[in-house]
Amino acid sequence: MFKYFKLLGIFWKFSVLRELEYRANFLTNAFMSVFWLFWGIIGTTIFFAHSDTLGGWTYEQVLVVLGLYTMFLGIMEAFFRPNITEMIEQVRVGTFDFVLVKPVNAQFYASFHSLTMWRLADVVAGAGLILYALRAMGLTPTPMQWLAFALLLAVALILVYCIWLGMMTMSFWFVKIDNFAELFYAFYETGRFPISVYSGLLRAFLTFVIPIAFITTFPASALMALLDPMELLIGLGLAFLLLGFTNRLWRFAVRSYASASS
Amino acid sequence: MRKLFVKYLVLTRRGITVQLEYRMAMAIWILSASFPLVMMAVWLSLAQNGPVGDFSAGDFVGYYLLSFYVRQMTAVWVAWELDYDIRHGDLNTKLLHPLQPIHEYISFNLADKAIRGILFTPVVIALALLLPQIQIAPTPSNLVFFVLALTGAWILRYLAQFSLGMFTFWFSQALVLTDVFWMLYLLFGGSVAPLELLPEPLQTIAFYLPFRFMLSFPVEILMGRLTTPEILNGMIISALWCLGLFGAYRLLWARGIRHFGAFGA
Amino acid sequence: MSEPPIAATHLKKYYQVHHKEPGLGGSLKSFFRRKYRDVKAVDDISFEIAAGEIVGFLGPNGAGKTTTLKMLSGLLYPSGGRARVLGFTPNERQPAYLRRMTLVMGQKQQLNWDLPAIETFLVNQAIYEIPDDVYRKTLDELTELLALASLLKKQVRKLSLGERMKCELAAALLHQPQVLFLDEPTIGLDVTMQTKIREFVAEYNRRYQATVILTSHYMADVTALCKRVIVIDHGKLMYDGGLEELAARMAPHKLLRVELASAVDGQNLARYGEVVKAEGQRVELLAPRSKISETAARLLAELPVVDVTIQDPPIEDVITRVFEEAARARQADAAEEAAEDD
Repeated sequence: MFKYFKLLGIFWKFSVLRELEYRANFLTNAFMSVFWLFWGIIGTTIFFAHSDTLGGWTYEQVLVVLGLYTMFLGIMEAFFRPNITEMIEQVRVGTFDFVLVKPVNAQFYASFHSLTMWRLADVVAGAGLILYALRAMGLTPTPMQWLAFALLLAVALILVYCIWLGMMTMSFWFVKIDNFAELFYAFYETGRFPISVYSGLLRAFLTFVIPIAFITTFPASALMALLDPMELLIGLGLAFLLLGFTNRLWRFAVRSYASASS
Repeated sequence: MRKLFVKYLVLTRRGITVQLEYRMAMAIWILSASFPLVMMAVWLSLAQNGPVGDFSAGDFVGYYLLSFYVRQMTAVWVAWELDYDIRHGDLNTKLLHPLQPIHEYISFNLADKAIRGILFTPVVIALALLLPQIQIAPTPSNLVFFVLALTGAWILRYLAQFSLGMFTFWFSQALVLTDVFWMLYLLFGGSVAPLELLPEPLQTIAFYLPFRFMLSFPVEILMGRLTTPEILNGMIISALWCLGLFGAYRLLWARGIRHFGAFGA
Repeated sequence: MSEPPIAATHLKKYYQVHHKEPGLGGSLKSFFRRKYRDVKAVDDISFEIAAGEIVGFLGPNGAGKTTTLKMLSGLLYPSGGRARVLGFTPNERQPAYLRRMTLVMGQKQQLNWDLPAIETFLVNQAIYEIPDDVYRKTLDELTELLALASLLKKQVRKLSLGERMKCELAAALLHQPQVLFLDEPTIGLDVTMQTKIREFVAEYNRRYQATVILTSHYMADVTALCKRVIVIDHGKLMYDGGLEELAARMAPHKLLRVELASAVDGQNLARYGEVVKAEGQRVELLAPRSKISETAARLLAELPVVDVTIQDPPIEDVITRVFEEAARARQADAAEEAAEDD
């Protein structure tokens, strides 16, 4: 276990060094984070010019959701996107073999060995927006609420990881498809707004099938005393199930990759 | 001129075969363009208890259906192509052909438009006829204006993105400009909200920027929200933007190629 | 250790490839009923390799060399038979096994393009859990052997192909593996660099008593490094033994290079052996190995010979001959089978 933490440190140091080779990235990423955040806020403001609530949520409450959306966008772009990009390339070129002959868990290596540090700017920007919105509402969450928030954040992290692991697994089979991530982002776009905005089937879909609701809406609810404890339980269950499923899928894929390639 | 036309035909045909080869990737790109649908869902939740401004729930459905169509039919990704070709030196190959490279890029895009047109035109017409909330009954002249405005929108988007893409000649992070442009397009083109629903001063700003003519303008025409003088007026402004962007393209291309020749990628 | 470090027993790898007739009709047909065909990439191969041996795998493209290497290194599951390396079953990919072997693929690189090689080395140090002092000592040795000193801190993309290969080798050997699988390690390199890599592999093998399997397109690699070769063709083991015996067995002829005082016509020459080349007064003849001295004596006695040398034909030619003969035999077999079917 300790070995893996140490490895994580070394992987990330390696990635940071690699990124320092391209210093211009820092400025553009920082600029884009801020620009994107303001763009999101302006977009939200437009809706509130015509109504006091959106899906029953006030302007500041929606900003908390937007903050979480921005945070997780940053997390995905910083931790997951570079790894999936690299893995697709490695499977295509055949250098994924080098990963498989290393004495380290291949799933761990493939999932975490790259990091795009600059995108963490989004995480900072998103967290800033959450804190700002909470202050604007004069809300101070209780310790219990913080705890529920932390749990749901963990659930969201696991769900996000599972989704990306699932997409990475697909790259064993569909070598040519490098834009799965774009497809997921198309769904993730819905996470800018509380789930109550969407109706009927779409809402069920975004809660249980591609659980965007658990990534942005429910953690936000936890902070503002809007959470139904059932949602927390369902979230934990879902995270558990999906983690088991995607891990199995990965192992199955590695096995079939190893017996199919030449 | 005839020779150019023949070249276009051949290149576009080749483009179609290439695109069909990558149909899975293309399907994903098309499915990824969900943004207008998300915005529609949000507006619909607001329109539940009565119209928002001038827009009823049905109007929102019609508006976003059409803007989805316009966006598909004007889809452009040439900045990424340019970025790739400049970095990897593939542009050199294109420069050796006895044809301005922009024509090669355009014909590839036209191939995509042909496929998307065949794919989406019937679907959009069918939906407009089948969904009872949608009330789009364009006059024949508006249909003609729509096609003109749609073409204009595509030309504008193409020239703008091509010009922005050329900044890769000078600095490696130039795609950021395209990203910023894209966000402005979503906001001021009428994707986040119909322009009429933008609060002041955003609405005023939107009318001075070219983005309206890249998305909203054709939609407004087909929804019957513009009078004929307004349409003609818009056409003139749109044409002026086209001219301006064409000038920008010519200027940037001439200088960029000189720079490329001097420094390479 | 009683068990040899590398052993393959009846190793097999079959792929199912679906067979499609050309055209849309064919596509539709295969959509409904797919015809599968077994491709026998490796077909019942057995061998053992002793500790410290360097063995060359020879065979044309697609013969099954790489597939065999991949099964031995644990990247592929065998369809039948058994592979054992260092007492492990490779495809279980146990860390204890992976830490003791390495795989180098000349056509693929594991070093990161943007950073100096030394950074990748540090990552590998962590992955292979190499203690600091051992790491430093090994790195020093490798640096000296491969003359890496000036390369380690340069960005990999600024290195030449040969320099990069040297760094690749070092990255693959930092953990002092006992078993090396080298797949085309010299591909694309110029002759001097090939020689350097070769010398290094020999030196590493000597120092660490490592067992090496090597595939290469360049016969020079094999002749310089390997006393023993394994020849694979169409998934079958054709030969396993010493390189010299291979020449003797596969080429029952020797080459006579004759220089004549005056030209002799071809028919006259053919009495002594197969004429390979006849350019005026220089002639090359192939004669059976067993009668070689007799033939030479007759030549000297009966023709105006200025000079004569006796050589083994070049190993490349021998190998090519072996594969050609094998192909001919296969065709004959197939023809026979077809005849029986009728």
